[in-house]
Amino acid sequence: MPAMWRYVLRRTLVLIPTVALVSFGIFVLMRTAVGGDPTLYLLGHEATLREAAQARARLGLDRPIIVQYAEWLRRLGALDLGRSFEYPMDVGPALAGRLPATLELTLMATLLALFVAVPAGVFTAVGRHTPLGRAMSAATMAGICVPNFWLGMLLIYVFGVKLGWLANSAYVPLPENWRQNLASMALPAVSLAAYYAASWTRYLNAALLGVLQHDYVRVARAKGLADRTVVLKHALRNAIIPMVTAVGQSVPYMLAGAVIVEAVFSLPGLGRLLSDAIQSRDYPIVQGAVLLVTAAVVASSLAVDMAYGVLDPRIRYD
Amino acid sequence: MRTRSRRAGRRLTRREFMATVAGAVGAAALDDRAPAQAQTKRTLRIARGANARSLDPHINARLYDRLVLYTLYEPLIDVDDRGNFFPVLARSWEVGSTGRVVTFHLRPGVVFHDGTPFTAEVVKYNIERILDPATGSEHRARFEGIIQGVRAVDAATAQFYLARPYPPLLSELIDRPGLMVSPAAVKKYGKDFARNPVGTGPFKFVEWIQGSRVTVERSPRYWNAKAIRSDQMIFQDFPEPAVADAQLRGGQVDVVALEDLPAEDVLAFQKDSGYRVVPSPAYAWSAIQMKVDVPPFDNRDLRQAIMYAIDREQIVKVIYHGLGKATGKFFHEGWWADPHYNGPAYDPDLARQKLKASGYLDRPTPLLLYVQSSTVPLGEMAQAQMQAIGLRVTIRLVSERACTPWCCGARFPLASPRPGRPARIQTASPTFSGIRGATQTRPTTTTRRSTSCWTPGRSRTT
Repeated sequence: MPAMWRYVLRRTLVLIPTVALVSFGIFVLMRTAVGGDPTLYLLGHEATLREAAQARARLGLDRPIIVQYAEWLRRLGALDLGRSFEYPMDVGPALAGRLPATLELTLMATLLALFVAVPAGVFTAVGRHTPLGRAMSAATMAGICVPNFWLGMLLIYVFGVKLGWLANSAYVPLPENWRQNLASMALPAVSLAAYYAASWTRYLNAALLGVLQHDYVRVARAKGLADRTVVLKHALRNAIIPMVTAVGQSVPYMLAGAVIVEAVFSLPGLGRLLSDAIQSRDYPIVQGAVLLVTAAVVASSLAVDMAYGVLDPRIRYD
Repeated sequence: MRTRSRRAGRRLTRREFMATVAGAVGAAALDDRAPAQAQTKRTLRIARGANARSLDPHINARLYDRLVLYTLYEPLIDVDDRGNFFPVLARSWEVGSTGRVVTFHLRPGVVFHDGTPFTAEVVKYNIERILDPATGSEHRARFEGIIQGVRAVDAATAQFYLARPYPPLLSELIDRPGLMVSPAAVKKYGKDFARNPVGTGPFKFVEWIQGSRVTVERSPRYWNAKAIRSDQMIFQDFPEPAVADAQLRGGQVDVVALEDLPAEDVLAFQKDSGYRVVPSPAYAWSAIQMKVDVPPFDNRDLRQAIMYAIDREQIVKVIYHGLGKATGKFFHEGWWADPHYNGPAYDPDLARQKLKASGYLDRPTPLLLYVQSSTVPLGEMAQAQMQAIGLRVTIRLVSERACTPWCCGARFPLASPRPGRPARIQTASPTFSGIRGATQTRPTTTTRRSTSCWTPGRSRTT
């Protein structure tokens, strides 16, 4: 087996204790530190204590936490994440139903941010003494400072209220009507992407400025290579590694940012499901969603490590 | 409610709601910002503050799911703005002389959306469904030990047998446990019925994109079809009120039905001639609740001191911009229960006297007033007013969801929860049964807010 695949396998196996630890931590924390009786949220303020007790027994919350956890693990072994306390759905389908919107949002935002950040990072480094370069640097600061929920609401105000372009922008799933889907995703993706576009621009800018000081760049220039070739072929490839790290590390934060953007734009995403579930103490949903997010974070960091090898042949996996 | 309708705002019954719905749509179709589809298919798009939780009225449905539930399902009887019952699926009803037999005479010719006829057997099935522990209905405790059984005398007559005379029965039946579901559909969908609801209501279910929206469309089988004026309704989830407002202004929705509209927003929409704010009868109230069975509020003089210290007029003026009414009671004007009583008056001198009599002045610890983010201004004003008579009060913030009126009263000795009992139905219930729940809380400071929200029929969201 090649070294790289052994590495992938090892990293995948590490996932198991990570997920076990996180899931147990969340399981105990939700039921103790966060506290709050799920039946209160479930039954509303009209309920009697007797109704609450019946509901607790029905949900199995009257048993010791460790027994509840063992039961959860046993079911997980059978790929059963249980049933939501709150919604009339099993956890698996509930998560699956919410995943597409979040994946699409995160993916669109990542691509959008990269689409802006790579050229902008190069330009702000190479053209840092030009007025446009300075203006772009300032714009990246603004992009970092603006909170995405505020930007989202601003975009809704400008495009929805003032320009009236969004009259038909309610979310529909991608397979149902891709045009309307993209229309409904555009503003959320821009809101989420703004920060990362700006932040990654600065990463690339800083890295590129550093690389451009290296001797090999001077040599390349001395050979008489065009500026364009020097920057894009020689310098950029080395400068992009810190940015790949930044992109990979952004995934968990993007998922978190998606929570807010999803709420602002009323998108049926995973983040909003999770935040709602935490608030209403829907333990099975929280547990399942955290499992999924943990796996996503581990997977994205693995993907970043793999990308290093592609970008920099000196990096070896062992 | 804010709609782009030019229809006059007034109290609505549920039947009239349908008409108003059409009014809003008609106006929308004339508006150049409205989508073209409104001209062909009359669609009403309603933004609401929370996502649907369950479309099975008997299991897990939240109070604010009723906005959707009452388009899909119907109860045997309903209640109007004055607290009087009126017939829906039952044409009439009578309570036997012992009080232990209640007979409903059902409306003939009613069918569910799936074609199942609505009969007395269906009524029996629905009540037994709630009573069956295997169903897992949170409403079981409402009927358990009270309803002994339901008998289908004939197809159009259902008799409820009670263990004892139980006046709240009718008011329980206007809420979720009284909504009639199709037995055939429950059998067909099993535990997924909540995602495939089938009732007798004016609209039938189309789709529920969880976390995004619920769509219902006109039911061709509805027994009172001429009352329906729109072809489709879309309930869009907008957890962020500012966004819902922007969507209304941008023409993405026709109606915003939110739990708590800031008074500033209401005033802004009132000034804008393109919108109509429809005031609803004032069911919602803001109050300060005390736990009266433990110290310090087992002290009657202390409670009365606070009662007289609160200047309700000032609260209405400052916090609600005059859009409410100072009052000391739960019920709005016209409700049969207490048409004349208007609660205690503001009297700082009497408040000081009572405080002195309570002996509480000698104690060094300040009172803790628990507020939620939505009731901070109210809490601060009440704090200032209590301090004016010499009480020391400290404000503590608790999370919105950790403090429903019910558990707030249970957990905190002095609390200002978010407005309680906003709808007709919730006002009807305590009228007969007293305040449900094991907690003893007594609102002393009540401020009515009359324009807080739209009440389509009784489905004001909570």
